[in-house]
Formats: sequence, structure tokens, C-alpha cells
Amino acid sequence: MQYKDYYKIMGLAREASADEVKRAYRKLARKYHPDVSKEPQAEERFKELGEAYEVLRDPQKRAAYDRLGSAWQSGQEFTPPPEWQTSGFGFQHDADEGGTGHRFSDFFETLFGHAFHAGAGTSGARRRGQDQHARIVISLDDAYRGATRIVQLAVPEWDARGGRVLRDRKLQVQIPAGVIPGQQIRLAGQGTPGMAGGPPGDLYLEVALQPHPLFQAEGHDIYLNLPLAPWEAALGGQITVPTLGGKVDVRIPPGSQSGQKLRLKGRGLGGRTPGDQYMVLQIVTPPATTPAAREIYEQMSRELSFNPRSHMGV
Amino acid sequence: MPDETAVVTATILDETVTLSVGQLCEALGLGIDDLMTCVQEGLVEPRGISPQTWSFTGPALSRLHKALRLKRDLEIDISGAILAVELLEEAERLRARVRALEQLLGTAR
Repeated sequence: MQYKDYYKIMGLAREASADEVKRAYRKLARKYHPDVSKEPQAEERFKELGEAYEVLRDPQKRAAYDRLGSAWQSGQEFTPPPEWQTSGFGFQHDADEGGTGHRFSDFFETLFGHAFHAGAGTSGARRRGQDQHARIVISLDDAYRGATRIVQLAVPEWDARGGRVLRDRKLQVQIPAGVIPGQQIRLAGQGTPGMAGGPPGDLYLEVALQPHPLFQAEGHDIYLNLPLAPWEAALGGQITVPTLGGKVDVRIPPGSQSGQKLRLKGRGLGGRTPGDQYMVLQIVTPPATTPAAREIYEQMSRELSFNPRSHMGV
Repeated sequence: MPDETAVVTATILDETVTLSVGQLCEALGLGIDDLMTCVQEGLVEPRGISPQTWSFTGPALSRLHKALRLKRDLEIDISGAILAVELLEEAERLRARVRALEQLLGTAR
């Protein structure tokens, strides 16, 4: 198990005041919150930060942590002092407030215990389990066609004494076709188990999409940049384009220009009322690297009176 | 405990799914006061005339969930969280546009 330097994680001195702890947390939370931050390690950093704050904002936990001393280095192999086991701390924390099943590090769990305490007066009563929330990242193809994916969760459960423990759980989820990014899907009865025979809560998964090399999803609609040869744009004609559902023939109107959008109705995401696929035209010029190609461009230059900058008055 | 190898089918919470005030509050651990604020500030729009008969569609749950997560994690009030959700959605739309334009210009990566 590795030692965690909670002060270093929060960028604080060991003598930082409670106010400084709070300010540092808020500042770093805004920086690393996975909803806000686009930094690659944001989620990991935010989890670390949450754990550090959980300890440093609680005077009892902080005092206990401080008693380990300041000689430890972050990441150093750590074994708790022998008297720790018998010191009888009854730590209480809301690691899984909101039912996220979020798990702290082994270091935290060893020091502060993984027996979560139920709120006073709730044990014994029949109660519906909490709804749980998690996130699932799938490919755009999976979103379009639907897929079965394994979701790994840390599920809080009640033990025999009414305390709460986290258990790893794998769930095979059938994701229906037509989910869109940011949407929630619900798995009835797959949340936290109920207490004293109460029904389980539901599990909600927020859908996120991996980037796709060709398509961009915007809600139900799909965007594709569609390269065209100059003659395809000028003369029009039929070309084959990719869609999530396979190849489709599309008629390009004569006189098309870069930046214009074509729409393929009903070729986007979504079940009963699917979105559309928009294709943004992008005219690509063939290189003038052979004498024949040069001749064609020179002929166009001689014979077409065309000034693409006429609207600029030049 | 359900069998771990069984496949569980998910329901998409789209516009066709209706959630009552009770279901929404239960799912999100949300108090009625915060829900009222979210409605008043236009984060989510209920159907029905009075809070007793209000119902919401699936996407309301996503937006509320995000707002509550920001409220809790950033220790801000609900109005601040609503503003943050709206600005984040706007930023996401703009990012998608930038990605598309970059691809168009061949400057992606």
C-alpha cells in the first residue's frame, strides 16, 4: 500500500488552516472536475483531491493522519503503525454520498475503515435501496446499433450489523440502440440493495462517446466532413458516402461549394425518431504534379474568367 | 443480489420517458426546494400546471444530475450550478464546432 501525501495533493502546508483547506479544495475542484476539465488525468486527480479533502476537512481524521508524521513520502510503501488497529476510531464519512459507489484508495480504507455507518435510526427499518449513478463510455457504433457491455461498479451493501461495505460488482448491460451522448440509461433494480427486505434502487448510467475518426455526434445528429473533387462539386453527380448504418448513395447538386451542408434525413442517432446526418462539403483540389494535371489547370485559368476574390474588390 | 452474468437491459431516458416529481427526487436524492429552483431558473421544464401534477422527461434527469454533481463537488449553490451546466453545454457545442472546423481545415491532431 502506498502512502498518500494529502497535503501535497492539495498543494498545502501541513499547518494550513481549515479555511485554507476549503479554499484549496474549491480551487482545485473547479480545475479538475471531470464535468469541467478537459485535462487527460482530470478524473484521477479529482478522485485524489476528494479523498484528500475528506481527510483534511475533518478535524478528527486530519489529527489522526497528522499523527503518522511528516517523514513519509508520497507513494512510499506504507504499513499502518501497530497501535492504529486498536485505537478504535469510529470514523464516519460520506464517501458515497449521492450513491456513486465511489471508492477511496487502500491507504484511506486502511486508515479510516471501510465500514460505512448507516445514518442514525435507519437500521432495521424496511427501506428501498439508493439509486446509483455511474458513467459508461461507448463507441459511436455501439450507440447506433446497441451493444452489450460489462460495467464494473463498487456497490455499497449492508452488512449484518447494518454497516455499509463496498463490494466490486460486474454487470452485463444491454445498451439499447439509439443512445445519444449525455443521455442517461436506467437499469431498474440494479442500484443499492434495500434494507430489511426493501426493494433495491435503480442504476443510472450516463452515456459518453469515444471520439470517432469520421463522425461527430451532436445530440441526435451526426456530422461528417465530406471531401469532394472540384468536378464533383461543379458538375454535381452521385457519390457514395459512409453513414453509421452503412454506405449510402448521395446526389451532389451542381455548383456545390465548400462549407455547404447536405442532409441525410433519419441517418443519425436515436430510436423512434432518429436524427439526421449532415455532410459538410469540403472541396479538395488534386495536386498539379504531372504535366497533364498542370495542363488542365492552365486551361481552366485561360478559359474560365473566375475571380474567387471579386467580393473583396480585388 | 442479481446474478452477475445475467444481461440486464437498460431503458433510454429520452423524451418519451416520463418521470414524476417523486421519481426524479428519489433518483437524484434531490429536495423539492432545489427542484423548484431548477424549474424557476429554467434548467428543466415540467409538464403540468402545479408541482403536484408536474412530470418531467428523461433528459431533465441528466441535466439535474449534472447540476447536483457540480453543486456538491464544487461546493457552490444551486443557481451557480445551473449557470455552470448551461455554460458547459454551450462550451461543448462550441468544441464540437471547432473539432468539425479543424477537421475541415485538415489541422486536426
